Formats: sequence, C-alpha cells, structure tokens
Amino acid sequence: MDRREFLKASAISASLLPLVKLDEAHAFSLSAEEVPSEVELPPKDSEVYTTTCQYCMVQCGYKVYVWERGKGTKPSGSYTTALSGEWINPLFVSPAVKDGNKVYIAVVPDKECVVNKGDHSVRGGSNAQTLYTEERPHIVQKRIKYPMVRLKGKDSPLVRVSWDEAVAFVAENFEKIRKEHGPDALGMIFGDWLYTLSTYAILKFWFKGLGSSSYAGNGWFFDEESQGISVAFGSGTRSFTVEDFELTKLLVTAGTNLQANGSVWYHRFFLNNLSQGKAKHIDIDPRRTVQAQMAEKYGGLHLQIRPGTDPILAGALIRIVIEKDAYDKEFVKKYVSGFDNVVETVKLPKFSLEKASETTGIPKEKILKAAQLMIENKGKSMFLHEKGLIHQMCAFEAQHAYAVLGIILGNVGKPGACTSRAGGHPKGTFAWPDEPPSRKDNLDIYKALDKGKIKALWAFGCNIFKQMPSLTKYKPLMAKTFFVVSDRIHTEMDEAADVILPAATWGEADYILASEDRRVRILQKFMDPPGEAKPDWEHVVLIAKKMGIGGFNWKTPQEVWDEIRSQNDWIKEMSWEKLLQAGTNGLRYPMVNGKSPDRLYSDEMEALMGKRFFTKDNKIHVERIEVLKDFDPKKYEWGEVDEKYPLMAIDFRLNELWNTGYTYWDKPGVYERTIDAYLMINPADAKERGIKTGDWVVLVSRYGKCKAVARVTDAVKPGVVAMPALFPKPEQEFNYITRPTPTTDGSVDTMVAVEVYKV
Amino acid sequence: MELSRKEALGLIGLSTLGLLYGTPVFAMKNRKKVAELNKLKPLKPITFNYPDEESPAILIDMGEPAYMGVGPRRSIVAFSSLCQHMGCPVQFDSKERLLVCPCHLSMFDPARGGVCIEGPAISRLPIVALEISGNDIFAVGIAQGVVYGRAKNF
Repeated sequence: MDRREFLKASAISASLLPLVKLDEAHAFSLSAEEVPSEVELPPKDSEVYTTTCQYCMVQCGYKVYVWERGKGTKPSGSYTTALSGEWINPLFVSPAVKDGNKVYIAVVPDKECVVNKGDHSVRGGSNAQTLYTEERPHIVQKRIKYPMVRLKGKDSPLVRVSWDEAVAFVAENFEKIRKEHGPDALGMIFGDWLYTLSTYAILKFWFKGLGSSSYAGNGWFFDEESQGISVAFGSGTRSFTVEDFELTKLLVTAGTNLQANGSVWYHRFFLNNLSQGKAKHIDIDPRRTVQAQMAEKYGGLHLQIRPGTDPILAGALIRIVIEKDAYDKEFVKKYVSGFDNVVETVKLPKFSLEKASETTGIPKEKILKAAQLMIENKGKSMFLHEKGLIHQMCAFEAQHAYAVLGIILGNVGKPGACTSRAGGHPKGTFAWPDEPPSRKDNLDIYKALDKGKIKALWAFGCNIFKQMPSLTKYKPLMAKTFFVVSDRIHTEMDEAADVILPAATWGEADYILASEDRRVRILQKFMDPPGEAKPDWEHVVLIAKKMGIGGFNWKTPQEVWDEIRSQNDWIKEMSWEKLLQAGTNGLRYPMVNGKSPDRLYSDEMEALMGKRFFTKDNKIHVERIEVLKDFDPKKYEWGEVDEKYPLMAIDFRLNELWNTGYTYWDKPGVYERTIDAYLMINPADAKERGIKTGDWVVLVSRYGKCKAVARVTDAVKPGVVAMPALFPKPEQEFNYITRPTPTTDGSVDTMVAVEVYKV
Repeated sequence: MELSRKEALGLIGLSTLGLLYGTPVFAMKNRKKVAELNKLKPLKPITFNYPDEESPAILIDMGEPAYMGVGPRRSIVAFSSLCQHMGCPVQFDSKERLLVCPCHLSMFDPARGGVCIEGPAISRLPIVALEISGNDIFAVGIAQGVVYGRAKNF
C-alpha cells in the first residue's frame, strides 16, 4: 500500500492534523497560561486536613490548609531554604468552595510524612490544580456535575435527570437484563485505585447483590498481575519499605521506570544514595530513559533489552550466579523449595551467555558485569519490576524468573533488600467478597463480550474506552451494551453511555487508600463536591437499594470501612479513629497487636506473625521456573513481526501523565511538556521511512491504528518503537493497536508488531 | 545531562503558538546591573543574585534567538536558578542547552522561557527580565512566576 492509498484507508484524516511543524512551533511556543506572580500563604488559624496524593503507589502525604480568601499572609523575601519542604509553590494554592464559602485551599506535600518528607512528583505537586473551582472554566466544563441518562436508546440525547430518576433507570434495566439473560449478562469493570471503600462496595454488589461473575479489575481485562511473585511468596503484596531506597546497595529495575512513576521513591534513591556513590543501579528497559542514563553515569548499567526477552536475560543471569557458585546457599537451604528445578532449567542452551546476548540484544560483557554487581551486592539489593513485564505475553515467565534471581541471591526481607513488584497505583482492595460459582467458567470478560453475552456494562471509576487493550475491536462491542459510567469527568465514554453518574473525587469526600509500602491512610474531605456529585460507593448503595438488595445500609464511609476491616486480619485493628490520629504516616499492614513489620519475609515478620512467608508450608517456592523451558520469544509477540509489520511497538508511562490523564488538562505547567503523544523511533528506522522529528506518524498494527508525533532518537534501538500509554487524546491512544490475543494466563498484552507511516 | 537537545524538544511535542499576555511593568528600584555585553560568550553562563542577595540567578547567551531574549540576536536570557521543585540551584548543561537540577533531575529549557521538560518541577523557572543600555545588561524584574522560597518576588 503506498502512502496515498494508506491515507485514504486510514480512519485518521490528514486534514485533521495541525499545520505547524515542531521546528516552526518550538522557538516561542509557550502556551502562555498566566503564571501567578504572588501567592497568599495559609494563616495560622487555617483549617488543616490530612490526605495522600491522588495518584501513584508511593502515596506521598499531603497537608491541606483551608482559609477564607484574603485572610492569608504574604511575607516579603525568602522564608525558607532548599529541600526544606516548606515552600508553597503558588500552584499549590487554589480557590475553591467549602461549606458554601469561598476559600483558598493549599495542598502541600507534608514534610512530616515519612514517605515524602515534603517532596513531590510532577503529578502530585499539581494536586491543587485539579480542584473544582468556578475560576477555572476548563475544569467546570469537563466535570460531571449531575446524573445524565439516554432515555430512549443510543440515538437519543443524554439529558440531565435527578438522582432518583437515574437510579431507577439503572435498576430497571439491570433487573430486566438479569431476568432475561441471567446475572452474568451484567458486566462491570472497575479501577481498583479508586479508593478502598468504593471498590469494596462495587465488588459486594456485583458478586453477592447481583450474583454476576462478569467483571474485570484494574481497568483492564484481568486482575492477577502478581502471579510470578505470589507463587513464590504466597502473596503479591510489596515487601519493602520506603527507607530501603536509601539503604540498598544495588537497585535492579526491570520494566519499571521509577523516575517517572514512583518518582519520590526514585528521588530518595537518587539524591541520598546513588548520586552519593553509596549504591549502584541496573536498569533493564528497552528505552534509554533518564533513569537509565543516571544508572550508567553513577557506575551501574542500562541493559537495553529487546522487549519480550526478559525470561532469557533472567535465566542467563541465574545460570551465571549458579555457575559461579555465588548464590546465597544458607538462604536457599533454609527457605527455598524447588531450587533443583532452577539448576536444571537454566542449563538449557538458550540461557548460555552467547545465546542470551543474541536473543536479548544486550552485549555479553554487560550481562557479565550485571551478574558481577548482583553477586557483589547479594543480600543488599532491591529487585523491582512492574508493567513493562506484566503487560507482555511472557508476564509470568519474566516476573517469576526475575523473582527467582532475586531470591537465590538472598534479597528478601532485609534492610535495602527485596524481591518484589514495584507497583503502579495505590492498593485499593482489602476485602474480596466470595465470587459466584459461575466465575470458574467466566474468567475473561472479553471472551463474553466477543460472544455477545454481556448485555450491560458498568465502567466504575475507569475509562474503558482508553484502558482496555484492542480498542479497535472491543470498543464497539462495549458501546453496544447498556452502558453505565460512574466517573468524575466527561470522556469519550459519553458517546456510548446510557447513564452517567457524577462521582465526588479526591478531597470531595472521605476515602481510604494504601501505599504499596503498606501504609493505610484516610484521605479527608476538605471541600464541597460540584453539583450533585457523590462518592462512588454511594452510587452502589442507591442502585442496590432501588433493586431491593439487602446489605447496603451504610450511611458513612466509616461504616463501609468497618465492614471491610472485619474481613481482613491485616487491618482489623485499624479503626477510623486510629487512622485519623495516625495522619499522613498512617498505619501499616499487616498489623498484629498494634505492631507491623517494616518489611515482609523478615525476622520481624516471623516474630510478629509466627510465619515468614504466606505460603502454606512457610517456604519460598521456585518450582515453576520450569515454565522457562518452553519459553521462546517467537511463540509470542515476536512471532507477529514480519515484512508488513516489521517494528515492535511498546508503550510506557509519561512522568507528567497519570493513568488515563483524567486530570492532565487541568495543569498547564504540566501538559505544556507534552501536548501530543510522541513516538520514539530510532534514526535508522526513521530514515528508511522519511520520518523526521516533529512529523505526524500513524502506527498501524494488524489490530488497528493510532497516531503520534515522531521523535527520532537513539533512546530506542532499531526495530523498536515506543509511545506513551493512555495519552488523553482519542486518536493518540496506543490501545487502538494492541492485540486481542490472550496470553497464556488469560491476560491481554500491549506489545505489538507495527509499521509506521509518515502522514 | 545526556538527553539530547532534539529529544528535549521532541518531549514537548507540538505546542500551540502562544503569546505572553501583556507586558509586565517593572519598577526602577528593582533595576540592577548584572552583566556586560562584550564579556558574554555563547553558552557560558554567568551568575548573579536577584531579586535579593539570597536568591541566585543565571544569565546565558543561548547563541540563537530565545523566548524573551535580549541583545543583538535576542539570545540573552536570565532565570532564577533556584529549582521550582525544592530550591536546589540548577546548573547549565551547555551540551544539552538545559538547566538541570542536580537534586531531583528537573530540567528546564532556557530558550523557551524556562519551561520544565522533565522531572518533578510543576512550574517554569521564573524569568528575570533583562534590559540593555549601551554595553550594560540590567535585571529589571521577574517576568513570570515566583522565585523559590518566597510568597512574592519583591
């Protein structure tokens, strides 16, 4: 297909693309938003609330100050020093309305919180700019303030209705569908970062109230992301504590760019450890990121791996460690079950240095140096991994192989040493109601969608028109259902929604979240929600009651929490009062008699809980390393790379962009960095296609199309292109090209063979 | 910093062509001589304190036209050098032509009004407005933002 034909066939019309080229635009391209030239600081008698950041798994602590406009102070000169955590950036302060009064609200990273000590990321630092205020018309415009319903089918308009009418409409339709097609015709997808209370409410309603087993968690088609870790330790829970980033001697990151997601953890590592020459960093990533560059600058390594070959690299490293007889024998003997399988598996020729280097694209000497660093720092290294592995077909193999590598080097449960997932979003689930028996034959909602079995779909606190893989295929299927949306903002889901319910978001209601280093905290309400927005758990209560389903009589967030904690021993002691008292430092799980271990799988945990691991026999299990025997990258995504689709596309998180970008356009000082999604492409691949930096390009896979601005760079290797995940412009959504082919464990991945065309 | 200039621009994607709203009016009492034209060399920054002795600032001749640049080539710009994230002094990387914070790796582009292109800072570096009189370069005010550590600039 030549270019003209392609454009004709493409859904993305060239005429829609901007006329300005990057070179023309860049020189004086300030978006010219007014930057405040002074700021009112909170007076001493401000109301003070505690909360955590609304974004990632680090969950930095924040203090929120509320005062009457004009009553604040404006001291002259400098009032603080570098790194004090005391400076109030003018963008920390926002006008808002509380109890009907016009106030100023300052959202300030808490210097007394042990997690962040006054530090913040680009995402969290701009928390205040997301607050609803009439002063910011773009926020007013996009927030959902009232229930809306399409009364007469998909072609009728969305009209504002009362809560009563909206709830009756949902209840009536759910009831009708359940009666005609059975409970499993009701599907639900939830974002489990959406605060513990709401997640529990929807799960209880779905499983016990409606009796449906059709759901997917995490705004994704599946919810088990930790299997490679949990088969070893009996739980996927992160095992380290934030201080470990300052104590570790070697940080090994695979498929997790902490600098850009988990920034404050990385800051603690970089400022107080790596840059002081006290630790090294091995970063395993197909992209040469800022973090990768820093790893090299300070004596560590960037292993620029060919995506999807992690199990081979990990296997080769394990083999070197065993061949050098350098594993932690005492640890393995005492705690590890299945080591013989490891020895046997890595003997296969594909794990030889030579072969591994060939497969992974990493020079032999770098693999050897990595092994050396890991051996030198055994028992003192943090092995962390995340979505870069988890959203591949070889998720289990890669995750488990890195886990085994970390484990046999004894990096478990010690200061500065762990083998764990890093995490992405905060922990939102503490109690999991019993699922209906039909679940065992109904694990994959996308299969049910495919067969037309899903007649209704509730998008609960997630944007399923962005987050789901293979949107080209599944979006139309999802759009056909009776489609209910509970969300804070208007999104592309509006087009298909039959019902839109306005959610009260961060700061507008009391919520609970936990950091991935296991700190539970209350996120206090500090302002009024706009219009008639209500917390998501109340959406559930209203609909359950309307359908006559019992067990949903909660009146306060505390009542929901009490029901949750009664079902989980780890948190049962954490009353609402105790949590409030604990403020931004929160309480840590698992908690036994008022005490919690700093690290899982440690002496401390064993003393407190009577066991060291969560497995039945109290051992770490590595038997399943055997799955590596059959592993061959060509069986997976690489098997689809051919002449027509010669490049492997991967996606990644932008530092400034959280999740689906539901607050991205609230923050001019943040979004001015990246106005459009970009595609990282190697100079060799770009030249072949006549692509220059700043050109618009279209990515075409077997499964769909999306577009981006080219960024020609050797930060990716030839044959690999990379694009930000979930960029909040519809045509720039990578998920339009991702694969509908399930992986071995039933999940769907985001690595895909493509061709790239200049538009 | 090893992020190349081209990549840094690529990070920005296409921005809208915008205008700085209005022209700030600067008070004579805030006028301070900070450099001399004939002593400036492209990409060799000089430092000074502004708006007071506690506040380090940095002046750079970018060698090509820059946002709010002064001088014969509109290439001379100046910024508060205290990082907008947590106040560490930023350093000029002449290879990448970026101001980089050594503490948490915020990176600012001096040619484009101090916009932050990577790292944790949520706002641009405050621009020190410059004026030229003969061979002398004067700082005359802060044209954008609030200097780290303060509630107001003056």
